[in-house]
Amino acid sequence: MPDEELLGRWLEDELSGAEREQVEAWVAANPQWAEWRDETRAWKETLRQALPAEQEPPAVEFFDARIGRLVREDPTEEKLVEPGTSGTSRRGGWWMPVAAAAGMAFCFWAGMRMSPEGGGGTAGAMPVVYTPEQGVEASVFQSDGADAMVIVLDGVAAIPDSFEIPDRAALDRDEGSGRLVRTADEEEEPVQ
Amino acid sequence: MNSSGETASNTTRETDAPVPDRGGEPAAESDGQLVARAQAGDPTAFDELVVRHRNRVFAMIRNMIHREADAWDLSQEAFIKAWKALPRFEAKAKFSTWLYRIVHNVVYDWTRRKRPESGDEWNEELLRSEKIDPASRTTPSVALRPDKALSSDELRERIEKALDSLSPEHRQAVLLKDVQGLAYKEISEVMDCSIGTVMSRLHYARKKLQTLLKDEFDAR
Repeated sequence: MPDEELLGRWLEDELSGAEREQVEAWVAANPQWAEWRDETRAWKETLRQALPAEQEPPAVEFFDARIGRLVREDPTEEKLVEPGTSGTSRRGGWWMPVAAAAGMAFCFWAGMRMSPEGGGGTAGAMPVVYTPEQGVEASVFQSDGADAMVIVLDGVAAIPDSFEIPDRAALDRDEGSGRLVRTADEEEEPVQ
Repeated sequence: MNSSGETASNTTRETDAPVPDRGGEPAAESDGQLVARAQAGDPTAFDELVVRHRNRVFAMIRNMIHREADAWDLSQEAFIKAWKALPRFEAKAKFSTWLYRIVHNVVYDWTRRKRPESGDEWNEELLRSEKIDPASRTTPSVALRPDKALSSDELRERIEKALDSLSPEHRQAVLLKDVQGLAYKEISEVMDCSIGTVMSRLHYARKKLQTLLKDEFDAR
């Protein structure tokens, strides 16, 4: 009799060649095992009909682009935690609230000069905004005149004061290559 | 389904070997070749690996936790961790197996963060019972004949509900074997346990699932 592991692998259709022939010669005298293998196949077929082995993530272009961006920002694990890098500099220091306030003021100023219908905005390609939470509506306002874009998320729960912004980044388009490049990072000097 | 009874979807996972030429187009690079390029610092090679494996990674995580938004985030996390750990990847295992191992860690970390205080329905007593029947067959002899009128959505919902009653270890064993089509050896590498443990987990997970689903179908 083949050992348990070999029989188990035969039941799962994992064997080939001499191993498979060896087990099937034994199974010929023990037909109950052929029935059990058929049950195993039927079971797997039922599960595979219900649960996909492959499923494209929602907003797949954003999925790919986000990974691509993060990969290019952090080339290797060794660079991820650099000696002497303090938690404050990575997580944000005293200047973060100042920068956030300045950003909000700018967004408000830009928003006053734009509308979703395109008054003052551009008709160019608009970004796709992925909102993982149901019930959240995203509106994108873009203005060439103000050289700015504002994304409004309607329906997001109130952000508590204790929330700590883990990271932020600003991207700009490089005139030479046309590629998006990061123009502000964690090492940015504090706002004066 | 091929002659050995395996579904065609299983064949798409075997990408460590070079992908055959298709209709005169240049043959696609194997996972191993893409990994080598990525390790040399070429992020576009990693982009290709992401595109090649993301649907399986997302489906695996989605089937494990049944929450699409969280599965999206965890899939991202798995690929970023893979990129960061790529310099340490050695070609002893297939890239896909190594990636499933990262998925395993990401999902377990998430599960611990999410439910630190709760126990699983499959308690310690059940886990110990894995050891009482080492000679049992992998598939319990419970005939499962779902109602033909059951829509695929309904069937999925019922199977997901039944999967939820399993411990993460048992759920993962079923998903890796029965849905993703991994071999026992690969699953043992992903779950960092022996092949015997994988067989035991699979046996009890299938038995539990089939019992739950049989009750569901019989009740209709």
